[in-house]
Amino acid sequence: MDEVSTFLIEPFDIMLHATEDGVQSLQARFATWLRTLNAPARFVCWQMPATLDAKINALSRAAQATSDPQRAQLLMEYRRYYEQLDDNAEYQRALCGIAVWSDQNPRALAGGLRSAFDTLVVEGAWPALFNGRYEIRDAPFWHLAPVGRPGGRPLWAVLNSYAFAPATWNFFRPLPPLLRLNFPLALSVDIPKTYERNSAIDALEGIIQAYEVHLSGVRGEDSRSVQRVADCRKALSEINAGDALHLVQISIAIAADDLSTLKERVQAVIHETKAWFSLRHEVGELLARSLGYFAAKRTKHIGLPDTSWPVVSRELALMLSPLGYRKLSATEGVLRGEAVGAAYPVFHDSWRDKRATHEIWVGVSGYGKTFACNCYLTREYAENGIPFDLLEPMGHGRHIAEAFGLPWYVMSAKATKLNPQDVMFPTLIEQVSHTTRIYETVLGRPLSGGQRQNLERGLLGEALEVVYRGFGELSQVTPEVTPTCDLVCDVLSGLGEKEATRHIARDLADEIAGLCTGSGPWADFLNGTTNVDLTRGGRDWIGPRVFSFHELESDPILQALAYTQVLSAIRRDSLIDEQPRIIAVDEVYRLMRHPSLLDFLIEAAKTFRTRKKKLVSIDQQLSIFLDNSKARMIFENSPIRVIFSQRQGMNVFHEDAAFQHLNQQHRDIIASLPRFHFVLDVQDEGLWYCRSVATPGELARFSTT
Amino acid sequence: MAADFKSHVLLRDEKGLFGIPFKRLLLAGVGAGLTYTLVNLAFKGWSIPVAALMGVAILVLTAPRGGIPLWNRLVYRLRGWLLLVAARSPQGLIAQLTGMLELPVDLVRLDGARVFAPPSGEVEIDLREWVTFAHAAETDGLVFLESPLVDTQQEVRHG
Repeated sequence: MDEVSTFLIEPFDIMLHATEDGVQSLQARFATWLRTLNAPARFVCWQMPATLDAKINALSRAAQATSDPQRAQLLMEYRRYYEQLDDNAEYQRALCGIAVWSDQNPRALAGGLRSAFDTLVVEGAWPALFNGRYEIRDAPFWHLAPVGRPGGRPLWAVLNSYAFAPATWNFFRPLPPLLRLNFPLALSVDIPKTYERNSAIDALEGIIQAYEVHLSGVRGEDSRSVQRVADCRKALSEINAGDALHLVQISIAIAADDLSTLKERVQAVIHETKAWFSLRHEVGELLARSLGYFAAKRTKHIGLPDTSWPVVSRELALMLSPLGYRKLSATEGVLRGEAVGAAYPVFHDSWRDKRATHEIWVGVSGYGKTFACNCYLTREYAENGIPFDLLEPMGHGRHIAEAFGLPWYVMSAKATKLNPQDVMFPTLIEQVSHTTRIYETVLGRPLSGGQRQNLERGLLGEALEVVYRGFGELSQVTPEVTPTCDLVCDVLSGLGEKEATRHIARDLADEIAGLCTGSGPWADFLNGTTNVDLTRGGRDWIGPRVFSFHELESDPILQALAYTQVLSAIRRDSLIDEQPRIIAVDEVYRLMRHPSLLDFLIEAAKTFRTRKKKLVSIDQQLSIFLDNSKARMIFENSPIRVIFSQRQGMNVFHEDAAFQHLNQQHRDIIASLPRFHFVLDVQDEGLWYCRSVATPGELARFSTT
Repeated sequence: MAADFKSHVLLRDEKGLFGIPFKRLLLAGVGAGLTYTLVNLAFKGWSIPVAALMGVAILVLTAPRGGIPLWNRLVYRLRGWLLLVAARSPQGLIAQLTGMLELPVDLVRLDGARVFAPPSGEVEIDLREWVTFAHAAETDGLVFLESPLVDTQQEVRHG
């Protein structure tokens, strides 16, 4: 006997498919899966009242647990905000499930469902329609009531379908309006039988033959029989086109807190669906048995009179439309925005899965990236205690630094010194390679690719090894004692065994010295002891930091060097522990345009991921991550994409294989995203069309950004 | 994209009289005839009205209500009522009757944990929790034996 496998399906947002082509493609995908069905199955959608209580309680607990008064204050501010949201809205939580009685491997079934529905499908037990003990009551009408103290448990009534009217169904009518009635209910689409193709054709041909015999002997008009023959022929042609014939029954369980509301709701549902299908309010024994439709119980064991209706796969696909109505999801994670249309808060916990931490944020200037980023960093810091490093080139870091009294490190060509020899890597080879990369950026040419360049690289590496070797352990090299560029150039100029090599070494030393020492253009910035505190300094936990690079705007090379040194220091500290941390790099293009620094960024992204660090790469156009094969690696390592308006760079969404999961409606939305609206695309999880929302406190702090 | 739903393509629904299918009329006629014959044996004067009444009753009771014949729906309602009474007074006459009829009294009182229990045999296995042993002979891990079934034989002997 076939075992039942139950799956839970995360609903998606039909608004992201709401074009003619979009819904057509959805229907085709659903129908394709249904055509392959050869066993009984059941689809259930539960819509239950939901609150933000869990979130509010979690924030209260965190506020009590933290010893940081600033974090506690922020937590209380968020708590008040969520309480206000909760008071002003009646949230519902929607969850869908499918049960299949089949001898197929459940994992394979889940995989098939995932690709057919293009949403998260996991094997899992279905939730119970109600908890505790209930009993049947017959007065004043048949319903189920909780036994003992209700404790907030509602009354239930069950309706079953028995006849379907010849009406037009689509993804928006008639089932979604039931979900929009916004009261707790569960909807079950039971598929007790799917006909094998030949037997379906035989059955239909038998009916047509019988009607034709009947019609041949009838005098006068028998429009019902004529219509029935036409319907049978249409069903036959659809089956011959690949559809399957299924028997279907819809059941709806409705909840209410009192009898009069329950009666009203039952009437509302019957009335709402009357034009499409008729519902029977179950009584007596049938009421108790009907509950089986909301559990993984075989239809024949439920034992209700058969009132199923035959439909073909393309019709049945439309009965799965509740899948497209996402409501309030889990409240774990931080608030990312408010769903456009449905107006429920979207929470996302990117830390639960180690693979899915890095993010890419893109959007043209002035559309709310910076504001949203500040809010996001604040929420992660307040709610989860996750510190951040914000690297930004515009100077707006001042706002978040001022708001939290954080150290604001402003990199300046005149006042800042960042010694390229500062130790950022644990091994000598890595450290030498890193410093060489900085010198390559200063020189504006790679030290590889030709015989002379290779020699230069070797000589520079040798010089660096000489200066570091004096310390024994690299970890002992603190910024105060780190060799400066002067020393490196001195050592380099004396290297080489042959005259030709000595000559190359001297030339390279002169070239570097000309740029980085004396009155060279970058001497003030590079030649000397680092005066920005990038060290760990024996701390177990490094608080949030803000680095601004706006004073280096006139010199892209200095800016790139500063970015690199700061990121290197962050990377170095990231390797030491596994404490979660967010590293947000705004205008990441400024780093990526230097090939050697791009390599560094890719490497840093990979390292961060293994150490629970989240890299948030922010820029204006997504194309900068996709045009270059190396930059693409950052994109591919960032499964979370936050897409603000991309009206100038829509070509990537059409052309790139990474966006095949987007349909025309998604692209239209992205092309016309208004300010403070974005699409949150989380690989293998889903797509959300959101609007940035902010607490009054966030607005007060960051509105100027 | 939409779909126009069809009528019940697997059901023959033939025309009758006054909107009543022939098979129901036929059943009512047969029922009335049979009633006439039987009643005529005992109460001759009453046979025609009783037969007519029976014919009408059959027509009414076989009319579909909510997709099932009215008589069937009434039976379920009656069974439900019997179950309710039996559950409320387990020692009463009705309770004994439901016992005789083997009606499922447990349907009156429903426990959410039982009605919606996950299917039996479902064992949640989190593959991430599988233990991997780096070395053989770790506790509960892989053990290399000199020859097959050595340990098993020893266990049997000791047992």
